[in-house]
Amino acid sequence: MERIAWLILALAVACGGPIDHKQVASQAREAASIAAQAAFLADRVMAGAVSDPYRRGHAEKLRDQLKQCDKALAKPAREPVAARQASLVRAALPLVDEELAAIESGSVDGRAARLRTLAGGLRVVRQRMQ
Amino acid sequence: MKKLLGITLGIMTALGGFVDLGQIVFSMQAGALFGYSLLWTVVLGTFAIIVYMEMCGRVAVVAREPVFSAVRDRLGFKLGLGTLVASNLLNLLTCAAELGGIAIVLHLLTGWPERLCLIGSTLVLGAIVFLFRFQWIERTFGLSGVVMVVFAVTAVALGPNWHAAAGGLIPSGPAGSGESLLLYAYFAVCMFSAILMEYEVHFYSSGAMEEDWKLKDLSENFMVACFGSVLGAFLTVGLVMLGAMLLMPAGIFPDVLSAAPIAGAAAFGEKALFLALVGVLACITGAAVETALSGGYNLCQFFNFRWGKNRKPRETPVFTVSWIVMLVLALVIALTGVRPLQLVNITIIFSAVLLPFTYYPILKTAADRNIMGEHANGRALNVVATILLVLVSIAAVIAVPLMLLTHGGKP
Repeated sequence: MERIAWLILALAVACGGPIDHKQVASQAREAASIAAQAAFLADRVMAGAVSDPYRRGHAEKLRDQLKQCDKALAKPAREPVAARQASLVRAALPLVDEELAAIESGSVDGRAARLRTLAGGLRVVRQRMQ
Repeated sequence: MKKLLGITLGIMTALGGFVDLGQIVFSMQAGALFGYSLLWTVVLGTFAIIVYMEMCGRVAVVAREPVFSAVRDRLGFKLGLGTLVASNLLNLLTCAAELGGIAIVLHLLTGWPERLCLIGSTLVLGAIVFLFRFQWIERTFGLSGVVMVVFAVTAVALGPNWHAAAGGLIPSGPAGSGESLLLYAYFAVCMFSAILMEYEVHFYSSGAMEEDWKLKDLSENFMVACFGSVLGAFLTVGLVMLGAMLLMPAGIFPDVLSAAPIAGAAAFGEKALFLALVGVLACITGAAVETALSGGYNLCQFFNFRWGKNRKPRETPVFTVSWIVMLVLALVIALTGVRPLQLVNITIIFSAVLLPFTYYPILKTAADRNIMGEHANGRALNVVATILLVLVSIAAVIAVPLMLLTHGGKP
């Protein structure tokens, strides 16, 4: 029992502690992945291969994930450099969210290209962090 | 025809067992991160599950001993009880995750509110399990899960790199830093363990007894175990390939269930997306049923209560109440809003830790000539099964440290 309690404590510390530059890089990767998924969704909608409930539902899930990403980046940073990087990544998140909200509401034209650009930008930011 | 329908036990066990919510997303994530290079884990895991499924089916037929009776007899009451509690806790969490997954897929199919889908689907599921005989449950969910084949068809239609895929059948580490090696090891352990999820053998062995298999059915046991598992493996390989072909080049790391069906229908139109959603729905519904029923089976088999879906509920009160309680508790957990994928990732890791405590008693019983007589394992099978048990034990030891070191598999 004691060992299990220690394990849970270790997990809680690992999940809830301040964010370091590696975790910021991981969140940047996640944000880029969300943008790329949104671009893929927009492409499929344009091709007429996606139903309305699926478009709305998937966009909604991606927006939820983006919120989680923002929440993780809003944690206090372990080093000043991590704080700067986190705010840089956070600044891009509303742009992705805006595109996703548009897809959710059915306005898809031209979104895929913008989202791919955003995903590319976030990937560059992530690479510079490493 | 009866023999053909008998295969559905293997199909439902495998599709609900290793093509469940976690494995669907996990396989795509593995492909998205490491291309085809983790395909060997699918082959190894499938081989292992066939060996152990066949053994637990044989033990159920010859010794009339289901898995948790073997666990109690081989591990002793205290350790056996610990295994029972841990197993049922994992079954409960997995069931909650699958119910959450069902609600997501129904929401994607219909646009109805997720909570409504969650409550409605649990009620329907409970009614189906309560009213249907075991054979009809397995046929319904086993056969409808076959729709998942759309993922494999899409993978083939997109033209995978067969040479690279064949290369993935041989274990090779990833290029890059120590961190990517850890991540590779984490995904290898998870893929392997997810294929061997212990509720599969609980369900399969109990199913063999529910269907009242006799000694003359032993030859079918191997066929049923093989067919279901190979089908499951075929679909898992399709999922990994989709990850490698579609997601990896686009820099996508899928972390939501809704990302899977769109990739699974990428080569076709809206109808294929519908089929992909139905296939996912069937598989995760099968998994929810398997875990809820396994909770009841395990408890009754361990304490020698009467059990069986084909008996009247008043003849099996503990069994009936326990699977209903499992379903209700799982619904309560799912209603808290916990992310199904987060839940299922935790259950895969802790299930890996538990695997030796389930697989060792199966091997020990199947190898015992006093119990199994002429149907005991031969020497070659004992050697193979022991090697697989060693691999399962290694996975059990390294699973939690790998989860901590990789922050739960975050790239």
